[in-house]
Amino acid sequence: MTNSLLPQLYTTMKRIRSFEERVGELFIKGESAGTMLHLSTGEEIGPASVGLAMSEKDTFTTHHRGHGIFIARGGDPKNMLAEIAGKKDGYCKGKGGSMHIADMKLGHLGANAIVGGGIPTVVGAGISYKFLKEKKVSVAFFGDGAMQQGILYESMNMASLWKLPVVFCCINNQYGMGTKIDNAVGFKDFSKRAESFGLNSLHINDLDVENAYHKSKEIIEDARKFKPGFIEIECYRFFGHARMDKSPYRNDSEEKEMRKLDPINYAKSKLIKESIFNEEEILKIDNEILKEMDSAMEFAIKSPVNDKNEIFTDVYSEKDPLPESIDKKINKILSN
Amino acid sequence: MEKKITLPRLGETMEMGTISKWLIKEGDEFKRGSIIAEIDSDKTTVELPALEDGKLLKVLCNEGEEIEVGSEIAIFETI
Repeated sequence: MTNSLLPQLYTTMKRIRSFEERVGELFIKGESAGTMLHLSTGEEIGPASVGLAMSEKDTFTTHHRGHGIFIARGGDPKNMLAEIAGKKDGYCKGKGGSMHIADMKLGHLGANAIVGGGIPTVVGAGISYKFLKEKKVSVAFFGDGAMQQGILYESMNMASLWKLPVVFCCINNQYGMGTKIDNAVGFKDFSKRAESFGLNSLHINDLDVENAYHKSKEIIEDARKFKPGFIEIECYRFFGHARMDKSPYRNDSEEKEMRKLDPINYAKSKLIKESIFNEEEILKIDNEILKEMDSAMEFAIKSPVNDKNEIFTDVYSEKDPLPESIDKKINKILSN
Repeated sequence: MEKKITLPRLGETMEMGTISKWLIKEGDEFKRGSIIAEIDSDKTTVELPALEDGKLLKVLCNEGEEIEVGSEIAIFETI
């Protein structure tokens, strides 16, 4: 057996793609709760390389396109698809949906549909790890759209000032909804922006997931030693902004050309070239993954819907006692 | 085995839809995930992927014809 991590990285990317394909099917079958399903097809290199480079106890936040990141960090496709279907077995009992899947036990500090919304959370997490002397790193995942949000720069400044174990990871898929990056960004060298804040910066524009993994690992390990970092991974969003968007703002020839830059096909060729697996062995892995995702989809469809009273639960923490009411306070004074 | 494809609901408010374009014709084989048609809903145009491998036997709805959600649009044979 090889020491290479390529089999794990390939499997992770393939699981992400297969998962997103099932999300698309769930939608066509009319089983998804809502239609805003943001797929990360074509972008698997970012979630797989950074996701696997993180350590078990590390934490993270994701943006609206976060399915792949959570899969790479151990999210169970069954409960994720149940969440997307709005069912009881979902990670958030189906109350969050596609854009708000979270599970603190797996270090997922929350998905956030607001552009850049999840970024400051990792700064807070980073402060706590430093204060409590925990050897953890917190990673914020976001897209190129968030590179134009002020909250990112406030967060980068604080991480740099307080030397926090934090990494900002931009998955640059070239499009902020329907706006191409050229129409939204004056200065596209994102890692230079981060550098100017004193961050350890990395720019990956390459299809080799193994390479991306090793470089990202260095940034994450430096962050663990209180040298905060920034990673930009360039990729291409293979489909529209959401499953329902046919991307009329892009021309077919661009899509055709760019979809050739497929990190999964690249990894597959490398597995064969380096004699790690042959075609047949890869097909076996792919089928195994398809089986896993098909049964997850079946699980999600069969999962029951919540009782309507569930709408009143998980709103406030019941562990915290309510503060004393003003009436009680006044009566206490009067009765003395 | 022969199976039918129906017009999916592509948004909470969609009741009617139109096949704007068939991307395959009768007799064509298709793979699960391949785009077989484009559908216009009340809001947008959505690509319809095949949910399993098959061969298109008969088109039941012409391009441009407005139909209700759930109507049968094609018959295919599983392969």
